[in-house]
Amino acid sequence: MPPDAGDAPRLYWQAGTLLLLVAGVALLATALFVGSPVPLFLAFPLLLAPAAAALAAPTRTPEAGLLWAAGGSTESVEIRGTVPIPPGIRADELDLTFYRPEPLVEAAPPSVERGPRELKFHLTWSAPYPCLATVPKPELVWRDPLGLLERRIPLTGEALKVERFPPEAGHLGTVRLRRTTTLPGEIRSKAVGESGEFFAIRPAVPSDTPRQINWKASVRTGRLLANDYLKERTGDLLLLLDLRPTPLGAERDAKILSICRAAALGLASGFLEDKSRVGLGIFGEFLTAVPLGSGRLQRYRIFQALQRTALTTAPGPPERFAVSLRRYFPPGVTTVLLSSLADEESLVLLSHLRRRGYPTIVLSPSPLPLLAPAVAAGAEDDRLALRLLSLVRRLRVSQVWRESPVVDWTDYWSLAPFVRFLTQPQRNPRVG
Amino acid sequence: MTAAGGRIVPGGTGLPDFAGLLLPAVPGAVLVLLSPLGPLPGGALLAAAIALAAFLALPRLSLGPALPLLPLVVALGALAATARLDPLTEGLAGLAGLTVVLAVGRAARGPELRGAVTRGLLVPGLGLGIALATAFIFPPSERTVGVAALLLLGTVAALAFLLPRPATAAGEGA
Repeated sequence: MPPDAGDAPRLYWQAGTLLLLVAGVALLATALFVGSPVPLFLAFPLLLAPAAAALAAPTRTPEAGLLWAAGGSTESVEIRGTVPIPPGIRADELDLTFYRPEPLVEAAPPSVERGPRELKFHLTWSAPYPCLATVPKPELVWRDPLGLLERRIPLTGEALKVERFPPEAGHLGTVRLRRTTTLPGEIRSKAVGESGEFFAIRPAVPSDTPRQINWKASVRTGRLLANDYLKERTGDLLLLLDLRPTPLGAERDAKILSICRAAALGLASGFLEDKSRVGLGIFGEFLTAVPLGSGRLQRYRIFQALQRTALTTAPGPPERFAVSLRRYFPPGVTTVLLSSLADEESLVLLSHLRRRGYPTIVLSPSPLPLLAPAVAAGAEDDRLALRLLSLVRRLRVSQVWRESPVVDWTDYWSLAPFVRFLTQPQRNPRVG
Repeated sequence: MTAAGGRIVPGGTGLPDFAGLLLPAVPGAVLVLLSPLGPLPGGALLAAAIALAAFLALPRLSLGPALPLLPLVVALGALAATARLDPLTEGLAGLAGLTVVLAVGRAARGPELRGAVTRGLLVPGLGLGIALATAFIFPPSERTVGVAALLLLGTVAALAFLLPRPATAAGEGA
């Protein structure tokens, strides 16, 4: 991990300095002992080099800005950035150190181009599966030409957020969600409001905002006129994440969680762009909820909640999950449960959700692709074991179908089966 | 090159700088030839030091860039201590010291910045030149050795003063 940002930028002597100083003093003592100046001449450069490094150090704490951005799509993560060189410092005296977060892997060595005024860097990483990652700021260090002395230079800038989820998640405009049942007493009429599809022009009233005023029409007629808009039709979506441990083991559970988080954010982004309301429920020991909401702020809330998720060590009972949901979300809302279905508890959870009035669709990332790379080069027994696990998986999916529709998600970089299911629902089909 | 914990240091092939390790051996070999002990003991000592330095520089030992040079420094110190007193051996000893500093710099800065390392040799080279010029003017004697030792001791004391001194935001020193 990068060093604490709160550390004051101090001068740090490196191990080479200790070698030179200790060797120099030992040679000095040897020269005095044998009465010969020859070891002194050997010691001279060793003792002068650290002094020269100290004299070359910058006398003030320099600061540098960081401009960087992440590019690429699906598996590819390309990060490019520039760091302006502080005045009084040469380009070859600066070194950059980068920190790669899990689960991103390095696809090519990083490249740093040293120009006269700035350093340019290019990182080529790849994401083995959909994930949300935060890339810490790189560390910029001034070093003297011999690498004996260094000082960290604070970089002003923010950490970089990398979001990798299937591309279909961002294009869900054709999907029509169920609307939550209206509250008793609500009059459902041709509702007009401040935004949506243009409906009509009317005289302005004092409560109208400047954006509602139709200035061109007002100038033509000589009096203030305002626009009326038909309120947008929206649907509601509830995303549920199951953080309870499974028999797959902590490492695979962590990978499945990373995939589920990325999928949740992708689906939330897609439906929020379509002006639907999206809520999030995260079940570990207790329920953590982000109530239904819309807009960019809701996306930010969901992103922050997903960033904080971690596998729980003390799983709560499934009924608690379903009961707690009623406090935050109305029944009848379209519900998507992201779960690996690796144990029987998921079936119990689904039955409780159904009984509490949440029509659930299960989007289940299959753990089998995580096992496949290890098995591909393995023995015949490993391939047989994988076939048996595939049969077990199919059996579990068919069992879950009795409670709720299941989308068996095997290609993590494509949500096409899920989108196809939402747009063309069929009666008890086997999907995926 | 990716180190543990996802820390990425650009540049570097991961292989040790064997050429840098051999640099101090060149003046050392000449010192061996000029040694009053004869070429065999000095040569064996230098060869053993080179072999040990190459072993310590292996990446799997992860000893850092500076420690592998220690056997070479010890061997050069022994050769310098037993060398005869004349300007040639003094110059060779000084040159050997410069090559040790160069090797430390090459190992610390990586392959892309080895051109900049030579810039760091300016002050040590200048100081060595002044010391050699002084050696030509004054004959070697115990008093000279004592004066030079005091000068070096002063340098070490100044460095000891600099070592624990943290940099502060206002009124910083080197």
